[in-house]
Amino acid sequence: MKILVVDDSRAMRAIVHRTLRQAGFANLEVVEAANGKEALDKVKDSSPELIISDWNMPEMNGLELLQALRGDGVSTPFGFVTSLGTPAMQQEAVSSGASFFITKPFRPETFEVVLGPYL
Amino acid sequence: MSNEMMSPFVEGTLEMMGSMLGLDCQVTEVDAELGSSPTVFGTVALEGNASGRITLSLAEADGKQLVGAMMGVEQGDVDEELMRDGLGEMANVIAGYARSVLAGADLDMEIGLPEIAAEAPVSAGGVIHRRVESDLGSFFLTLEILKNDSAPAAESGKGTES
Repeated sequence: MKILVVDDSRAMRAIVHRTLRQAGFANLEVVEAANGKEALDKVKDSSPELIISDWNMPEMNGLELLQALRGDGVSTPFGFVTSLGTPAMQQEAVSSGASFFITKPFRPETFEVVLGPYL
Repeated sequence: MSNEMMSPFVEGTLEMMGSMLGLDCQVTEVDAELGSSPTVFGTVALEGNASGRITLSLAEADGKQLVGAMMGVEQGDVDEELMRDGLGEMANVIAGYARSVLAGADLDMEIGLPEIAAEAPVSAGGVIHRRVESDLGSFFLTLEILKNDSAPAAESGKGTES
């Protein structure tokens, strides 16, 4: 299964990848992007089956990415892994089409429970 | 500035260190200058009805140890760029955690993107420091509030918080 991890931090992209493995999700093909604009290109090129994105990024943030994808008719399951976790933001994410919302700091157990239905 | 405003940042630090690095920490209030040991400073700006910044400062060797633990790699595999990136992410996670907690107390803050520097940001006062110690290294957590339009919070006592 191919997933796209979008985060402007190279370290955090690696941590998300590592946490996916710790949560028991093996045999994943992980594609990475450093911001929303780069992610739009990766979605076209790679057709991921799941998108995990940070919220606060330069160039194009995660919410703008989600809205752009849905505007283009892309219905790939999309969720946030972000340090910005207010209820208002979670509501905005869900109303824009997000499937899940994981706040940093996170544990592998959270990934297992939240991402299990998609992986 | 109230020490109480520092509490969510300390909670965020403990949660981050425990969940993402697997480390228990000791957090101690310190009043003095940070001294000469920190050489890397990761700062996240805070903007809203309270504004200021949160800064993590540490020695490069400690930064490589901690970022390596966070990523699950050896210290030798953490180059300077990755260490700076990881330090910024640590500051970002702590600020985001605190923002969520403070939002529940009607204190609205936006947080900026992390910035990394080789020198401490120039302070205008109103600074609180904590020293965070773990088996893999230590760092200073510094909160500076430049403006606070929210209701004043109660002072808390000094001492060890965890």
